[in-house]
Amino acid sequence: MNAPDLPATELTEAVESLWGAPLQPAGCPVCKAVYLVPVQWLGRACPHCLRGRLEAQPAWLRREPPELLAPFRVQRGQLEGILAEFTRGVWLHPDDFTPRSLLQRAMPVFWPMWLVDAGLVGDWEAETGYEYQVKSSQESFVDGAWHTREQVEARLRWEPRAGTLERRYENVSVPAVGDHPALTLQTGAYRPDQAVRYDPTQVGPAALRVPDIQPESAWPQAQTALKQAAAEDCRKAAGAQQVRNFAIRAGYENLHWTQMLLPMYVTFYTDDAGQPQVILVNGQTGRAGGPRLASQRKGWRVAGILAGVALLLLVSGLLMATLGALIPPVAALGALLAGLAFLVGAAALVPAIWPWAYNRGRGNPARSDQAIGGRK
Amino acid sequence: MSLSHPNLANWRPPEDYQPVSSQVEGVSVYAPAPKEKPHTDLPVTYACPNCGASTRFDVAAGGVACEHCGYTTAVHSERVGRRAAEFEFTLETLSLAQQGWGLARRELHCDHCGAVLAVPENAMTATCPFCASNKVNLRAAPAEQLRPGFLIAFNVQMDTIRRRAAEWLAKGWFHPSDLASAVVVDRFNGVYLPFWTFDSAITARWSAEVGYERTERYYDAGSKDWKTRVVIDWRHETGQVDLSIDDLLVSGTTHASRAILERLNPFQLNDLQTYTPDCLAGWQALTYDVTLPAAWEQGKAVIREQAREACYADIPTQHVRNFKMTADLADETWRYILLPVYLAAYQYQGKVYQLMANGQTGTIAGQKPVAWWKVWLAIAALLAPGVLLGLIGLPLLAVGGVGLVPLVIGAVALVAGGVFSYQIYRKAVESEAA
Repeated sequence: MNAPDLPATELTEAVESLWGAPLQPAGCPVCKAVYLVPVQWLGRACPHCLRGRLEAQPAWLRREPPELLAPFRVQRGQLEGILAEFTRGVWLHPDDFTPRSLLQRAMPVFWPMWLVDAGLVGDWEAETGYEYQVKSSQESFVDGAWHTREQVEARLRWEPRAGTLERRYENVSVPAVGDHPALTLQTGAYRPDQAVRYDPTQVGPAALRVPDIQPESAWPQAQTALKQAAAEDCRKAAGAQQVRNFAIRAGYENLHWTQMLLPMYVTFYTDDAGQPQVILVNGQTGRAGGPRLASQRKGWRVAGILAGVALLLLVSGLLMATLGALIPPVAALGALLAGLAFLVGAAALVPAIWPWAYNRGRGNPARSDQAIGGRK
Repeated sequence: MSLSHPNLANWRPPEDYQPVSSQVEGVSVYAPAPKEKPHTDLPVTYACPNCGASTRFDVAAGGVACEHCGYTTAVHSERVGRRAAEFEFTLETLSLAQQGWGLARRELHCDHCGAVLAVPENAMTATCPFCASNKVNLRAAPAEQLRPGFLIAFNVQMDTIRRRAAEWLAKGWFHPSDLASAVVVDRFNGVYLPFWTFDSAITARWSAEVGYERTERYYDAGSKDWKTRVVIDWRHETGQVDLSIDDLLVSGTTHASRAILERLNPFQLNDLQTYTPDCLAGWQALTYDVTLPAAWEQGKAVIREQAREACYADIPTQHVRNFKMTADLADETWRYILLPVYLAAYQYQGKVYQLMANGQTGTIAGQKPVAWWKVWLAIAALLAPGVLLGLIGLPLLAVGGVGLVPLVIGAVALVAGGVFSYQIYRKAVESEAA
């Protein structure tokens, strides 16, 4: 199936308002991410890469406003609690990794998904699975007598089915940005049923991310999503519990593409190397995600202090031991101090090693630079 | 915006598919049509298309034949053997199987002559007493799976059975000598009896204390000598045995003696064929009255013992104690079949005895009267040498040491005679038992 005819995007220059809100097209010269932002956002750090500054620039946009918007259910007041919970429990964390600094930098951003409406007309074939239960037995011979224990097992019977389908599907969601998988991995799932009709007043001071996947490119994924919806309908139609090997030969009618905007907060802290580490908070559910790193620099500092104390104890101990030649009881105190010096010295190894060990398992698998900035 | 799409008007479902109900608007659903089972579960009356006389399944012709004009038609059935479909123990089937066959007795309106006849309990077939037309499929099963799907047709003719029955009656020394001449069994009823077959894979795990014999030397303080003796070393051991049960037969009727039916085995299940009422025309056939769960309990009792024997066989010695085992049954399946059995009864000295014949192989089994005086005489003869040698040996022992030899030989003879006597007695009892 070829890509459908779609209304082309238009190059939009700097304007006073877009989609009913006072928004300007702006972009990041570093990561090339494009946003629609209130004018006061110009010059701020790019919420995507945090390396570049947002500059006014033309953007390829659809003229019509988004269809749905999931409003921020997590208000700024609740954000501090969420960030406090997120930062808790990281020993030797960077000085910048605090709820307060994360809250200060939190930027409300809406990111987009395509919503596809389409009529499907075609024929399908599949294997549909029907659950049923069977009774099985376990027989035990104990103390000269047989005992039976019956077990009920669930099984699945697969049967071939075929048929036709003529249905319309509304608001099938498809990724509109390249880092969609990384974003959902960090922020968790959104609930599209809580989205409302787009209302410019709900945008508030937030920036709107502009799709970097155009409908032409998103069409294969839309097709897959539509087929999945069709497979689910065919499963239900056949009264089955599961479906596999679903194949449909379908045409698509009256395709309609709009956007849905999903809310999130973007914030960051700087690590030992001065690199920003991005933290995302789902604006609907409050789930926060991002790297929680320990500071190796802080670890060295604590280790150094402990090593200094150990050295001091050792020197004192040696002095006491020397004095012990004259006053024997002092020698015992010297041995005690030397022992303490050994213990504190050994303890100094812990903060030296711990950040490395902790960070090794917790790097940033969910949102690496590569994952979010693949276009760099 | 519109894209080209297949024209639904030209779409045709795959061959042999039929529409089924859809639970979603705008979606049509087609499923493979069930394999045709035409009229196999509908009442059928057998009459000759040539002369209108009654027709019946004829063993010699291997088809449905008219005794009046000689018209014969082949039986439409496929030989499937042990490949015959098997079913799982689904909760749904087990629930339906508990329901039985409904009415115990019902009246049937003969569509051949119009007479009304009563159909006895469990009868699948009937012959109208007024027009002699043969009717099949008189009972509706509670579920498709619970109607007989396969059968083995009668393969041995009645004359052969009569001859073999006469030979069987004449066999055996502990029966009345005049049995074969005094009894004439000429009235056999060919009946298709219901049977359940069961399959299962079994994983049996056992644990026990197993004893190993060891010979050791020890010093006997009494005799002040070194001697040897056998001691048993006990070790805790475990093991696993995998078994496969294939087509375990369990009778589905209480109207025929289980003990005698077991003696008719084996049936050659490789000759199983798909059910067709043609094979039942003019013959009696019973529906099951031992339900599937009840039959499975009987089957499991047999399987358990087989598993236990297999576990014991896995143990390398005879010394076993604290034996425990579990048998996990998996892939349990069943099928419901009809097997051909000739039933007969005869009287001897006022007492009634049952006789059965395997309609497929001609094997005869049944009750046979016992001339108990012959049995007791044989037992007395078997025990006599031992007793006599004992009687001789005892006084000789009192006189001198010579008596020990006959006493020992007598004891051996008595034990051997006792074993043989017990076997003869058991056979005699079984011979009369139903």
